[in-house]
Amino acid sequence: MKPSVFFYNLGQGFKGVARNSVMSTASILVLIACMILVGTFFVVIDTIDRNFNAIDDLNVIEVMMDKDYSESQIIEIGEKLSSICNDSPIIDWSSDQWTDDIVIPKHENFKYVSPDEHFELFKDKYQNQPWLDAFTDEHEGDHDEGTHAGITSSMQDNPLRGSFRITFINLSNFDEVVKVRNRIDSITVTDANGTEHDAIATEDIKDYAELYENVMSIKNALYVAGLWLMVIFLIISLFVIMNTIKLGVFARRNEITFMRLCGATKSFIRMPFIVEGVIIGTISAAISFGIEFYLYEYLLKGIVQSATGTSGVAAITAGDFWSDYAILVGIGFLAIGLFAGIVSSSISLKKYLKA
Amino acid sequence: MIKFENVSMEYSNGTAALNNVSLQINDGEFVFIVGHSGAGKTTLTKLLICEERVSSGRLEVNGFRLDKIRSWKISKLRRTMGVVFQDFKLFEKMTVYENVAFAMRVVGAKPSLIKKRVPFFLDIVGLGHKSDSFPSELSGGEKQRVAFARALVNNPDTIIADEPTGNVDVDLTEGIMELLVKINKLGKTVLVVTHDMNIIEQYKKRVIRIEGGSIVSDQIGGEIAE
Ligand SMILES: Nc1ncnc2c1ncn2[C@@H]1O[C@H](COP(=O)(O)OP(=O)(O)O)[C@@H](O)[C@H]1O
Ligand SMILES: [Mg+2]
Repeated sequence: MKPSVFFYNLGQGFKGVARNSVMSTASILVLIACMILVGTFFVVIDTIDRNFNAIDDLNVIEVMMDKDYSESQIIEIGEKLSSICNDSPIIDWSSDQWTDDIVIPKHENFKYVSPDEHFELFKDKYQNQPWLDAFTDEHEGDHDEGTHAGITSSMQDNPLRGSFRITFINLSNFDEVVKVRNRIDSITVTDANGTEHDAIATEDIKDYAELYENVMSIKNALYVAGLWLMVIFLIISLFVIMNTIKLGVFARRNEITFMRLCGATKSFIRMPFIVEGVIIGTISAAISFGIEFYLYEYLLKGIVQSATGTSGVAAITAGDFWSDYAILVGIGFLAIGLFAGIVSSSISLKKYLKA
Repeated sequence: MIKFENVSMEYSNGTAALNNVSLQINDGEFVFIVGHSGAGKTTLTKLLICEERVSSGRLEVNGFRLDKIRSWKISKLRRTMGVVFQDFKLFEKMTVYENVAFAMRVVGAKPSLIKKRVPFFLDIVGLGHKSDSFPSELSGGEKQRVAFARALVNNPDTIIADEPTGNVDVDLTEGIMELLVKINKLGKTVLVVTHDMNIIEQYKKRVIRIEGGSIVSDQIGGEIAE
């Protein structure tokens, strides 16, 4: 395209947008609605992902031991657990992380955490809390030297229980995790009288599988809803832009007839209208980008922070928007805008302009 | 050259506007096309510029086979034709100069060429002094002249004027006809659709009479039975 022709088309396109300002505005508004919708769903879904992935131990099942279980009972349960896990494809035993433990086999992905170890972890976690000192003073030093091997607590009143921590490869194989869970639920343990009891209460199996699945289904619902709304709004935009271009064609029909009969090429006649569609799409994309940034920076961030009560949850900042979303959102909006603008003006021209 | 061979044309609503028309018009000829209202005169001119397509037969215009022309070639065909519309179709918001220049601009003419040609053709039609006027400031005859300048400015081989004197006063008719003869002398083929018998008798040119979509006579001079 020669520069003179390019500027002619650009000028004509802007003239078209201005001439038909009411319809152009309507077109821009529906397109903006469509883009904001898509953009917001996208950002919300991504924010869910981020915050979800930030949860520790997402792929861990923790099986809590009753406080009154003896060492031998815990060893029995441990053996049963490890044989369940041996059968399952969702645990990676491959890394050579076995350590010799006198009573229970230890592996990075399958290990027993004793009450004392839990207590240490607890202390680490709340290191800087003033109430911790009083709490530790109370419990420190009253180690019962009689017990060994660290399976049960050496402290008198350690309120914490021992647990088996089973780490999965990941949680996406949700069905397998549920299978393992159900088998763990039906483990039995032999009591002092030699009879077997249900070893583990359902609420003592702690994992994020349910949460994971719930979040996934919310995400999917959002995804499907977003997709449908996008399709609906896109169709509405197409119709509105088609009408805008149609009115433009009618307003210029004498000019167009004359141009055709002078021997103007089809593309020369159509280009200003296509450019009009492109301008509408581009303006919509630019405005939507600004709105999306505002929504992200001031609303979404605020909602996430007030919902979680902290800003520590995969903290979102304006910087994140620019580094992670800006290009995607910008390209996405422009793509939607150009698609809607070009496709609808082309359809309109095909319908209302003859050769 | 324009050559109809057994051309028929039927509108999509079923109206048969032309039936089995055969005729040849050579380059540089001056031809009147006459006939009653609804005879098919305008349809014939529409076929020439590919506004309508032939239903059957063979039609050749300035080297293009219009019975089987590809749509992308139509603009090329139309650049060989200058059409003067019955109702002028001047743009009210453009000056005389801009109206004529617009015809060049839409076929992608260079600005330098536009600057040279527009005043030249405005002079030919005798409107050099009115180039900055708007159509609303012109008389009917002057508007018609602008339309002629516009049809001429892209240097077409053939000029088609459909009832060019239909909308102007009788005393202006002569001036317009003089202009058409002048255009013909520039070497262009001129087709004039009219029902003005006085003109036909005065100019002693080739007259093709159409009635009911068929050619009923084709002869030099004006001695045609009504
Ligand atoms: N666009 C059209 N659609 C259908 N019929 C038409 C159309 N234009 C003209 N006709 C019909 O075709 C016939 C020839 O019309 P036309 O060529 O305009 O006649 P003329 O120009 O000689 O008065 C008439 O019967 C007219 O009613
Ligand atoms: Mg007619």
